[in-house]
This record gives sequence, C-alpha cells and structure tokens, in this order.
Amino acid sequence: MGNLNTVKRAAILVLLAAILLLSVVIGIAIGAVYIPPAEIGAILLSHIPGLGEWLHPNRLPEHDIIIMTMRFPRVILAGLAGAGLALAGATFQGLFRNPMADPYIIGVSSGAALGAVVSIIIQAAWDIPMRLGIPVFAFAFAIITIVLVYNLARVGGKVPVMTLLLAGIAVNSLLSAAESLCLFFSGEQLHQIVFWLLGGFSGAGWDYVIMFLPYGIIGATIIFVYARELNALLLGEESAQHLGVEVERIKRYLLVAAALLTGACVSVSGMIAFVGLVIPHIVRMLFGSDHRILLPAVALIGAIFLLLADSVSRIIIAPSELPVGIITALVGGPFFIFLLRRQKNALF
Amino acid sequence: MRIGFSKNRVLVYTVIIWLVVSVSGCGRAVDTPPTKDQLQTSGKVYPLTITDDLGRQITLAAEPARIVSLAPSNTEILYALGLGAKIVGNTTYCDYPEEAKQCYKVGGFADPSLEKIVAVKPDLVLASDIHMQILKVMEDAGLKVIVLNAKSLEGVFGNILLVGKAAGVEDKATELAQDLKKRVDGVNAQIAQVPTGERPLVYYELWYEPYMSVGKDTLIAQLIRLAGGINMTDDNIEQYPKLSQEVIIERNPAVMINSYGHGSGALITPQQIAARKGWSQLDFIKNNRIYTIESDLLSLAGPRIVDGLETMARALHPSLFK
Repeated sequence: MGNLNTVKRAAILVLLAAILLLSVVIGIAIGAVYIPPAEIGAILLSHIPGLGEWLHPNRLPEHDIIIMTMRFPRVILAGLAGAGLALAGATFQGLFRNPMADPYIIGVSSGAALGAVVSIIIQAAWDIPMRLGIPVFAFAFAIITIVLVYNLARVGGKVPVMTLLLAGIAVNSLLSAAESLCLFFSGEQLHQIVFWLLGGFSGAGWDYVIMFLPYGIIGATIIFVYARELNALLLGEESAQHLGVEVERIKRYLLVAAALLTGACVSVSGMIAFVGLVIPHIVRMLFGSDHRILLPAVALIGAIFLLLADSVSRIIIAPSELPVGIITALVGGPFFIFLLRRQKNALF
Repeated sequence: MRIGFSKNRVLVYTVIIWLVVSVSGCGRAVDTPPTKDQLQTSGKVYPLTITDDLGRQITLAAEPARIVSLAPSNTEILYALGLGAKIVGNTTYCDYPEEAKQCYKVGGFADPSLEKIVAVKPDLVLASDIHMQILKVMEDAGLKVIVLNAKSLEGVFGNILLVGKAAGVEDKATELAQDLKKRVDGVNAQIAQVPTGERPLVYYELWYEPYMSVGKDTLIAQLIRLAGGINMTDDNIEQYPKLSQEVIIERNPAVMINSYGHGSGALITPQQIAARKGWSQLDFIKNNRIYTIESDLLSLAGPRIVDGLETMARALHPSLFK
C-alpha cells in the first residue's frame, strides 16, 4: 500500500470515525429488551441538560434505566477497551518487531487476572462486596507486574527486547500458576472466576468508564506522540539510533504506555482474546505499516470490532449472555485467516 | 374480559395490556390485590430495613408486589411462602415447583440479563453470591437487591425468615421454619441413639470426571453429619475436593451417595459404578449400599433441603426409619 498522502489518511480516519459512531448507535439500539428506536432517541436527548424539560413523549422509566445505566456505559466501555487493546497490541508488535506480540505478552494480563481472582476470593471469604473490588485489584496487580518485568529485564541502563520478552514469559507463567492454584482451591467461586477470565462487559457501569479513562488517555497519548519513533524502531534499534531516536528512553515510555493501557483494559473487561493481536495485523494489511495512520486506524477499528462483538454477545442467546471473548475469537479468527490467504505477502 | 362491549380500539389495547401485565405473576393463585385484612395480619410496618447475607442494609418502602428471583433456591423459598404469584421473573434453572417453569425467564442462573430484570420492574430482587459482579449495576439501576447465601441448615432457615419478613409474610415464614426445624429435630432424636462407632463412612460423589466430593464446610457435608454419617472427605481443606481413586479405595467407605440432577448432570446407575475398574471390592458395592438422591434436595438452599436430610438419614440408617 506504501505511503498514503495526508488527504487520503484524513479521509480514511473520518470514514472510520463515522462507522464507529454508527456502531455506537447500533450498540445502544439492540439488547435483550426491545426498545423502539424513537424512544431510545428521546431517552438520550432527554439527558442533555436543558432539553429534557420540553421533551416528554412516552418514555418508560425502566427503559430509561436500561439505556442510561446499562447499555450506554457498556457500549462506551466496550469501544474504549477495544481501542485500548488494539493500540497496545500495535505498540508491542512495533516495539518487539514481532508479529506474535500482543498486549498480554509481557504478563500484564496475568497480573491483572491474578488480581481479579484474589479480589473475588477475598470478597467471598469475608462476604464483603466491594463495588470496584475487581478492577482496582486487577489494575494494581497489573502495575506491579510491569514494574517486576521491567526490572527483571534491565541490563545495566538498557532493556534489551529479547530479555524483556523472556522476563515477560517467565513472569507470565509464574502468575498463571498462581492463578491456577487459586482456581483449584476456589470452590464455589470457580464459576464467577471463569466467567471473569472469559472476558466481558456484563458488570460495566459508568464507574468502570471513569476508572478506565485516565490511564486510557495517558497511555494512548504517549503512544500517538511517538508514532514517528515507532516507525524508526521498525528499522531496528541501531538504525533508529542513527536516525536520532533516543531508543532506550522512547522504548521505556512506549512500554509503560502500552502496559498501562493493557492493565486498564483487562481490569474492566477481563481477558478478551484476539483484539489486541489481530486488529493491528488487519489494519496493516489494509493501510500499510506507517504508524501515523496505523495507530489511529487501529484504535478506531479495535473500538468498532469489540463494540459490535459485545452487542452480538448480548443478544445472540438472550436473555443470557455469551462471553464476548468467545465471539471475538470465533468471528475474528476466520476473518483473519481469510485476509492471510488473500494477501500472501509478508505481514511486516 | 370485557372486550365485547368496547368498540374503541385504544380501549381494547389498554385492556389487553392490562391483562398481560396483571397475569404476569406466575403462580396458580389469581393475582388479586391484598385485602385490608391481609394487610393488617401481615402487620409489618414499611419502610422496613433488613440486613442480607452480605451484611448489606436494604430498605423497602412498601410490601414488595413484584419479585424477581435469580436462583432456584430463592424461587423455592418464595413458593413455599405462598409468594409464587408475586414472582415476575426467575431463571431458566428455576424448575421447582412445576409452575416456576412457566414464569418469565430473565436469563440463566449465573448470567441473567440485567435489561430483562429492569424491564419487569421488580420492587425486590433476590440474588445469590454468584451475582456479585452484576450487583453493582443492579444497585445503580435503583433495584432493591437482597443477596441470599446460605451455607448451612441454619442459614436456610434464616433466609426463609428473611424473605418472609421482607415480603410481609413473617408469620407464615416463622411457621414454615418451625415446621422444618421440627423435622430436623425428629431426625436428630433418632440419630442420637446411634453410637459413634456405628456411623458409616460416607462417600458423596459430586462428580466423576474427576472424582469430586465435598469438604467439611458445605451444606451437603452438614447433612451427612446430621443424618448420622461421617463424610469421607471432611479432612479436605477445599470446599469441593478432587479425589484420586486411590483415596476412595484406601478409605473404603461403607456407603456411597450418588446424586443426579442440576449440579451433577445425568444419572449414573449403581451398575455403572460397580463396573468401575478396581471398585468391585469396595464395601458399599459388595453390600449394595449405593443410594441415589436428587442433588437439588441436597444442595439447593431452600425448604426441600429437609427432604434431603430425611432421605439421607433413611439411607444411612434404614433400620431406624421405617
């Protein structure tokens, strides 16, 4: 695809943003309970300050609750998590120059999962429901994991990519073992834990969105700022150094940003497979690997994909819900294989 | 019912909607508003604050008229208290009593649809500890949620009283709990005659791939104890220990309780158990002491748990209960 010019880039991003907006509308429009589109519109408009007063068609209060405390925050959170995971995945792939890299590669997710499991067990053991117990514990454990992996991988003043990967894998398996041990002894909480691990947004409320936002914004901003440097890093660390990139410093920033983003995503939505690994590849096949277009496109497509997948998960076996991670893998896998077969040239 | 005299479409629709709404309770009883008499005998003053099994305080403004049950055990308690007609939603797992199946389903036990719960406008939701994740959103939606989480017979009786109090049928709940306690006392009195040495070692099979049983702090282990048996896996630290066959062979229990139903899947016959490799020399197979009990009687924290206790006691001590 080569380099796209600025106009084309802008056009692609505007188009994707429009699709994202449409997906948000679809996500809010469908659910286990049918609410007429006109009523949904009225409900949403009525929450805009000032408008609510003179808009009073037949809105049912329970429908208002369903839209405002359940679907709306859930749709927003699914979009944010999709964008975050895809962006983190693209960053790790660029950073490690490895197509197998995904947001979970350096163990952040295992840390978050262990935190969530510990929180579920603590809540059950002492019968204390903590409103935000799971995301807070998950995020804290994710941060501890990043610090641990980073320090394990540090050799002198540098963090070689290989050492980082290996330290990540080691910590990953250690944490997974601890998590399995908890699972083994969890008894009645087993079901709850497995559900969380499969990933999903069924517990999502506005407080989850608020929890996610600061880390999401910080992480994403750092990554966007260093898009150019990520391009340089693709040529290899030495070449990047010659191009005047402060490799070690940039690597550190990007690593922390992507890990922060991953931790925030996993803590509010569990382990959602596929999005972070494959969305960046799909976008690369579509628009090339210039990170200045790749990164924003990855974020938008990740958001669209996870948002729609979550919408499907809510209605496909309604009134029950299918964990969204199953849908992302089920839909995304074959689609990726299709792209792979069609485009037989190298991915990177 | 009076559609005949109305030619006005709007009125017809209104009546239909009214009919649909008013029969949405799923008990056999006709859904009539409580008479003044009933209100007085219930005698409870609302608003009423109660404390649930998680120590949460819930204040009910008025006697609940529309109840959603998110667990089979909760559903059974509601029916036993005569509140079936007030249930406006339960789960696909709620299949006892029979009319619970006809009820509007808000989803599965572990994953009910929050939207459907809100849509039936309940003024009381009875949840369980499996719903910790969605508790927050239900509270945000302004629902009154009571979490029931009984881990013992006393807990079950406590829950019956709690639901009775919340729903304004405290007298009935007290009566039911006392009846159940009396039956438990009856079993206790019989079992008290059994010397410790004659209490059989019991293997309760929760699952067979892998073999799983129950630890000391579970409801089922308590039932085994009360029924005059010794739970083979009381010394395990887990709630639901996974067992090696060697342990079962080595401990050679005198009785095996084989359960079937919700928790344990399809029925495994005693013949299938006897045919397991290396099991033929076990005492309970040689002496033909495999008893099959519906798992819902042993594991659902509802009134039928006492049926489970009695069935178990009869199985362990057939000579005492004739």
